[in-house]
This record gives sequence, structure tokens and C-alpha cells, in this order.
Amino acid sequence: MAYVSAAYLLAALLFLAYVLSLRSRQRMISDMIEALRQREGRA
Amino acid sequence: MRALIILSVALMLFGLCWALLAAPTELFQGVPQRIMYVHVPSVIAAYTALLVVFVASVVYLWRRDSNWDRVAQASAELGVLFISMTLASGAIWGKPVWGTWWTWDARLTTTLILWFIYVAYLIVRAWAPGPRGARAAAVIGIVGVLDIPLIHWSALLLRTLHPQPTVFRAAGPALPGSMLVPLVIGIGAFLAVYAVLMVLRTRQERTLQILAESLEGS
Amino acid sequence: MSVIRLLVAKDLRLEWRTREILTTMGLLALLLVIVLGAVKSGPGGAPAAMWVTYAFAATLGFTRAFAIEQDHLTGLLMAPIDRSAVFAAKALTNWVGLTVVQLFSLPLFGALFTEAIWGRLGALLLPLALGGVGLAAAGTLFGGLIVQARLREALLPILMLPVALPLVIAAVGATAGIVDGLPLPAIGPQLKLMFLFDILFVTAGLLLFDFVVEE
Repeated sequence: MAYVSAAYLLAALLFLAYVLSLRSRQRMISDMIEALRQREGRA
Repeated sequence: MRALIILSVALMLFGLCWALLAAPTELFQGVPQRIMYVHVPSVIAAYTALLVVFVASVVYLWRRDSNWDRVAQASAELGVLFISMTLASGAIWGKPVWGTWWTWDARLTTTLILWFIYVAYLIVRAWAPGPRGARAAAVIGIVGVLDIPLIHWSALLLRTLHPQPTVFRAAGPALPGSMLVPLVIGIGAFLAVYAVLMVLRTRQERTLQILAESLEGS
Repeated sequence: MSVIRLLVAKDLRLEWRTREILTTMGLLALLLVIVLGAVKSGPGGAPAAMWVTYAFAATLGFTRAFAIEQDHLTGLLMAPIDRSAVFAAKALTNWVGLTVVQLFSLPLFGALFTEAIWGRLGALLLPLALGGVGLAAAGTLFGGLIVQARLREALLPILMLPVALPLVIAAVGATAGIVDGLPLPAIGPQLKLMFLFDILFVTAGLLLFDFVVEE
């Protein structure tokens, strides 16, 4: 049972890591868009 | 898109419940055999991802359409993710059943080497930006897939030179339906998740490129 | 054909005057032989030590091969020559360099690891040549890929070693068979694999090099 839970947990963790990296990149993109908007607003 | 996300998550949960609760326990291996429902779907997703890298790289070199380059990149990242999952779950399955975490079997060796090749692919992408890096990556993506049969063959030779003491399970009888159904559901779930993550990741890259262009323009 | 000969002659002349690549490659090979021999000598270790040495010496030498072109690479690419000729010439030069290192280090392996090498020099040339061509073709293709990347000295080994691993495995098997005194047919599969690897990477290089160096 320990082996099975370890395997499933590891797989879940890998998925989680990927999704988290996806999210952090998404946040960076929205920050960039926000910065662009502000710059355009000033110009 | 939203429907695809919901479908993939639902399939994943459904397959998980079936694999852990409803599927029968295998007679010889016992409970650890349930790792199959992670292991086999992740292998299939991994090789699908590498095949997509190959096709997208060929089309990119041919057509010069950066959409294909983004597809190759996203698919390579997911390929590495799924190969990591395969290696990890395989090692954890091997320990209770074969008595060892690792053995230099042809398929294991091939998968490990592919992991290294596609990690190198991602490193090249990170260190050589621009269309030049994209073309370099495409060449690696193509050559890496063409290399698979040679790697497999060389690993077979390795084993004939150094016979392994570990007992390999001979290809057993075809899976009974009670195991095949949850396995197929698992494969479907992994492929659906692959598709969802592909779409999300390529979209991100597209937005990033548009942003970079507009930043350069301003 | 004459273009390739011209390019190879140019590279060899350049190398003859500076001796940059051969010195670094040769010294690294020498060092590796000594280190591997000190750690584990004995007849069993010879083939593996040999090919580890050659693979690492190759990655070091092949990064330099394009680095010396850096300022002239555009000139070379603007010249009215087929890009595949540029690849063929570079791969040939790299192969010549690697072969020199191989031949120079053979006596060391004979002295430090096993005397059996002396008796089978002729047969050993076969895996040495097949392995050398494969390493040169793959190394030249990848060296061209990353010539403008950051950290290319670190990048080439991580890129080339996994891809060339089937070649190295087969080369070690073939060399071990020859050193053990097996007849050539016994190592047929290994030689066949090396031959296929050579064909694959020479073809891939000739076909894909155009995309690799394009501006």
C-alpha cells in the first residue's frame, strides 16, 4: 500500500508542479499586460 | 476549452477511484500492481508528446510557422513531465515486484535516455532564444525521436553483455476486462490532461510573443 | 568535392598553426586515461575507459571547432558553397582530430590497462573508425546548433552524450569483444548499430545543417 500511495502521490506532485509553473507564468503575463497598459495611459 | 478541462479532471478522478477502489487486486503482485494505472497512461502520454514534438518540429522547419514551434516546445515540456512520472512510478513499482528500483532493461534505459535528451532540448530552448534557438531545438526534437530505435537496440545489446539477475515478468496474458477498463479510462484521462495543458501552454507562449513584439514596437 | 577538400585544408592549416584543439583535446584525453587508469585499471576496464575518454575529448574539441570560426562564420556561410559541404568539411576535420587523439592514446591504454590491445590493433581500427565517424557527425551537428548559445561549452556534453549513448554502448561492446579475442562476426550487431548510427547522423547533418546555421 505504501508503494501505491507513493507512486500516486509523486504523480500528483509532478502535475501540481507543472500547474503551479503555468500559473506563475500566467501571473507574469498579466503583470506585463498591466505595465503596458499603464505606460500607454501615461503616453 | 472549459468543457475539456472539466472532462479531463472528471476522467482523472473517475479513473483514480476506479483504479484504487473498484479494480480487483492482482493475484501475484498484490496491491502494488495498482501502480499500473499511473504508469501505463503516463508512458503513453509521454510517447504521444514526443511524437508531437517530432511532427511539429518537422513542420516548423518546413513551413517556418512559429505556431508549430510553440506546439513543439509545449509538447516537449509535457513530454519531460510524463517521462519523469513514468520513471518515478516505474521505479516504485519495480521495488516491491522485482526487488530492485532500477534495472538496465531495454525499455527502462530507453526512457531514461529520452528524459536526458528532452531535458537537454529544454535547456537549449532556454539558453538559445529566438528563431535560431527554435530551429536548433527543432533539429534536436527530430534527431531525438529518430534516435529512439538505436537507443532501444543498444540497450538490448547491453543486456546481452550483462545479463540481469532480476526476474522479468514474461508478457502475461491479456488483461482481464476488470483491469482493462480502468486502464483505458486512465489513458483517456492522461491524454485529455495532456491536451488541456498543451492548449494552455501554447496560448501562454503566444501571448508572451505578442507582448514581446508590442514591447519592442513601443 | 573540391570545395570540401578546400575547407578541410583550411581548417587543418589553421589547426596546424595554432594547435589549439589538438592540444586541449589531447591533454584532456591523456588526463582521463591517467585518472581512469588510477581509479580502476585492469583488462576489463579498458573498453569503457577508452570510450569515455574519446566521448569527452570529442565534446571538448568539437565546441572549439566552431568557436574558432566565430568571426568568420558569416563569411563562410555567405560564400557560394552548399551548406552541406560546410557540414561535411567540419565533420571531416573533427574526425581527423579525434582519430589523432585515438591513435595517440591507444598505447596508453595498452600500457595502463591491457596488453591484449597490441595483438589486435588491426581489428580495433574498425570500431575506432566507426565510433569516431559517429561522434564527429553528431558532435558537428550539435556543435553547429549551439554555436551562438550561451554556455555552449557546458551545453554540448549534455546534448551530445545522451544522443550518442547508443554509439558508445555499441563501441564499448565491440571493443570488449575484440580485446577478449572474439572473432569479428561475434560483434556483428554492435558494428551494425555503429554503422547505422553513422549513417543516421551523417544524413541528418547533411540535410539539417542548412536550417542550423541559417541567420
